[in-house]
Amino acid sequence: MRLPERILTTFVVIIMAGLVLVPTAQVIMRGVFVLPFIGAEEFTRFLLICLIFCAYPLVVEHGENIVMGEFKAALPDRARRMLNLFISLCAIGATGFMGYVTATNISRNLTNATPTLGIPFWIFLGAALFGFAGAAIVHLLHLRKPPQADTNIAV
Amino acid sequence: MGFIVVIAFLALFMMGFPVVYAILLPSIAYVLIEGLPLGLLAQRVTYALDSFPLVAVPLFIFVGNLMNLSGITDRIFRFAYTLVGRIPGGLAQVNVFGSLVFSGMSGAALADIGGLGRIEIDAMKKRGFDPAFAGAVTGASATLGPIFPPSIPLIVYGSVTSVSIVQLLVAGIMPAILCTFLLMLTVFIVATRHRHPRAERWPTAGEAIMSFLPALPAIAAPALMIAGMTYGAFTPTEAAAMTAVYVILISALLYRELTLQHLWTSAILTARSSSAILIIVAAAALFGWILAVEQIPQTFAAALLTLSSDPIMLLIIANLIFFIAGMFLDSTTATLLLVPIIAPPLVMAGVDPVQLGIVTIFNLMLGLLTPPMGLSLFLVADIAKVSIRQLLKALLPFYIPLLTTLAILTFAKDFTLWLPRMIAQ
Amino acid sequence: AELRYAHVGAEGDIQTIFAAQAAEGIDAATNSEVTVSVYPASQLGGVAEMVDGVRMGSISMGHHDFASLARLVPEVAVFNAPFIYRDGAHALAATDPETSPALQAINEQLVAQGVRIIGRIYRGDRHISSNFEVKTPEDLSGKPFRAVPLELWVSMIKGFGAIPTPVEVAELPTALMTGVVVGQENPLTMIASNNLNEVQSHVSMTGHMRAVLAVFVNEEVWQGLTEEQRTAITTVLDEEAEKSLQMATEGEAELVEELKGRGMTILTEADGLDLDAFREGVSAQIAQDFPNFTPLIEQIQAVE
Ligand code: NA
Ligand code: NA
Repeated sequence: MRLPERILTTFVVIIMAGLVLVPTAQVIMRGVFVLPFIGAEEFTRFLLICLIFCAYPLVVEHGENIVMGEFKAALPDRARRMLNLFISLCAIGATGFMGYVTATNISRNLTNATPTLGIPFWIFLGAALFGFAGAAIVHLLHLRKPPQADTNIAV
Repeated sequence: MGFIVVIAFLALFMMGFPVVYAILLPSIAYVLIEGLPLGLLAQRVTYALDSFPLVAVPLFIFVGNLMNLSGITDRIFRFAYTLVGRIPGGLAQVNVFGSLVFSGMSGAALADIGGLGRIEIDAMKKRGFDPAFAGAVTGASATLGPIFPPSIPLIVYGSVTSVSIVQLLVAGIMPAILCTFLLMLTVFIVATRHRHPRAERWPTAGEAIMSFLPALPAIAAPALMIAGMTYGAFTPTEAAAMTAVYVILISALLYRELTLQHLWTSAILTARSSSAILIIVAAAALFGWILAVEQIPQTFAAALLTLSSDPIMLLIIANLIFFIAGMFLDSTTATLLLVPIIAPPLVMAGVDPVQLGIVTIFNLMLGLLTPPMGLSLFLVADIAKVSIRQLLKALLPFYIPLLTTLAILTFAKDFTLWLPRMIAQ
Repeated sequence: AELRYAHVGAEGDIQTIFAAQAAEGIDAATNSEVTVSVYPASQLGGVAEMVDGVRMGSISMGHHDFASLARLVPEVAVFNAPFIYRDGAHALAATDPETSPALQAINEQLVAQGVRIIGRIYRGDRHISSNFEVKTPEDLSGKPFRAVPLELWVSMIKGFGAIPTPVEVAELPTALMTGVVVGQENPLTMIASNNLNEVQSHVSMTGHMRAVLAVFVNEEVWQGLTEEQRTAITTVLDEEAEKSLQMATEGEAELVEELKGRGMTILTEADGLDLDAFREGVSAQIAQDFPNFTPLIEQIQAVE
């Protein structure tokens, strides 16, 4: 595993731990000590947003995007490779554009914050920026590979 | 303009674009062409994930992964085999029964096929079952997962419609049990006619107990969770976190099989599959915003209501729409895009929202088993190493119990609503 | 001009009726020069997203509790503060964008952020519901009570004597049924439409908050309209505000009977409900937690 991926994986695992621990702590604080923590829900939602966006470059890296590949699989080899290249280019365009839009949106939301804990809104947008920009980079590195594995498993 | 966005999505989707880009590309084009503020794109995808109920999605996937990696799945499978292995069809019965028990924990639709299904198909092939039959049983029984609690599709449905999630989860119990019974009956008939292999004798009481005890803590999890919610110890979303903690505790303390490596691997796998699913939820929210602004739901709903105003007729129409959608869309995408369009007029016409939720999700799961594009079909064919044609032939008898269940869910609403009503009192 | 008007109100709520009638009224008053499409029931997103959308311009206008705009200007929450209005008419007067000095002061700051309050809706009074008799703050002492996760609500619930406990709206009926929280506060119309009578036995008619909602618009969109169009719109919104007050007042009497019919016990001052004790507890807590509200509260109370 290369270093950037290793760092990102560790970060994502820490967020995952938080997602389990924060609601658990809330159940215990409320049920056992009658001291509910105002904002636990907000913090949990915050962790969810970070998890989904930060893990997205890893999804792309591992070719785990959900896709319906049956039509493509039926194409002749050459046509399929051209279609895959086209999809890759579109994926770079879409994630790159979303990253750009998120970046410009951050500067306009510097004062905005969540109502209870006051988590600055730019952190949320920052996670989205990281996710889209990271995905764009991975797609770029993979340019000649399809942006998803050929076998597809959806949940 | 709105309809062009829908058609563009379908076209890209069928061409083999990852779902998230098939949604994002037309949506971005729409925002640019209509001159809407670009910030909308960033804002909408971020806010879509700002939802407490959605937190349950990674938590349940985490539970499923932990159970597979720490051997709990194996224990449940062994227990189920000991209990029903002697019934004609033997392992095939285990396959069905195992899905009911297992689906109580995994919560995710096709996770059942990818996890337990793999073990089941291997075991059945080893004991001389036809691989296509093994795959067919696995695919058919995987429909149980999403209607038996816990269930990610039901949670997503509840969060889209603001129908009580607890009511939905409880409402799924009776239909899942009925469907299990009908599937086992079908296996019984098919196995008797084709003289499929089965266990040599019934288990002795000792054997049953010996396999039951190790599986008990795992099987107890759903019961503990529902009890916890009923007595106000936690809310449904918190229950998902409690289940994860519970599974970690029993596998670490009781089974002593949990290693840090398991936890680490489960967490990574969970993060990736949650992200792959929920990034679609985020993109679909943008798509939904555009549909709403273009008033497509209203147009569609109005057209739907002109066909009939009879709740049963409307429910049948909804059945068809969701069944067709299930062939093409994964359940989360279909729920997010279609339910806000279809549910309001039906509920207004008198269809019970909880019943509609169960019917919707069951339909979407059936759609997964139906060509041209059933995700379950392809996954099972891949695991069992059979062609889609062979698999479909073996599946044919199983559409009877599945469609019978659907008919009962549609026409006998009290069957679904009886349990949630009792609990609400 | 075409305006997108979003809100989170459900079918049948006063705010939903308000928005629909305001859209019709604006169409008529401007000879269809300004048309308003209404998107109810969170179709274009939840509260925070709607506020951000109006600020950004993806949504032209919307309405919600004044406190929802506190993410732009914290002091705007004062218009939701408990026990500050004498009655519904006073609440409408104190939130009139044309005449109320307190609201105009706040509006100046909001406009700098790209949003302007142009009207208000009276949605009824908020009351306490519980699964036992609540007559004084002592009855709630040390018990978990549902708080909207905003500072103002948390402070008010503390003033009730209870333990502020956050519960998401979606999970509220379940939380009440199972006892995660023992009570909550909302307008009667919400209690009736969400069937909270199935999980709650008592309503204490505290009327602690007058639920006045702010109708707000994107400033750029607003300045893009002509002077006559703007006057026509504010006139329509003002008429609709008066109608909403009337609807809420008449509706409340009916709802009390309705909820009694569904088996709830309704407690008023005549039954020994100690309103003064609630007012004192809450006002003291709010004064302590929100010192910057005090001058605005004085301005509001001075309004005739
Ligand atoms: Na399940
Ligand atoms: Na199975």
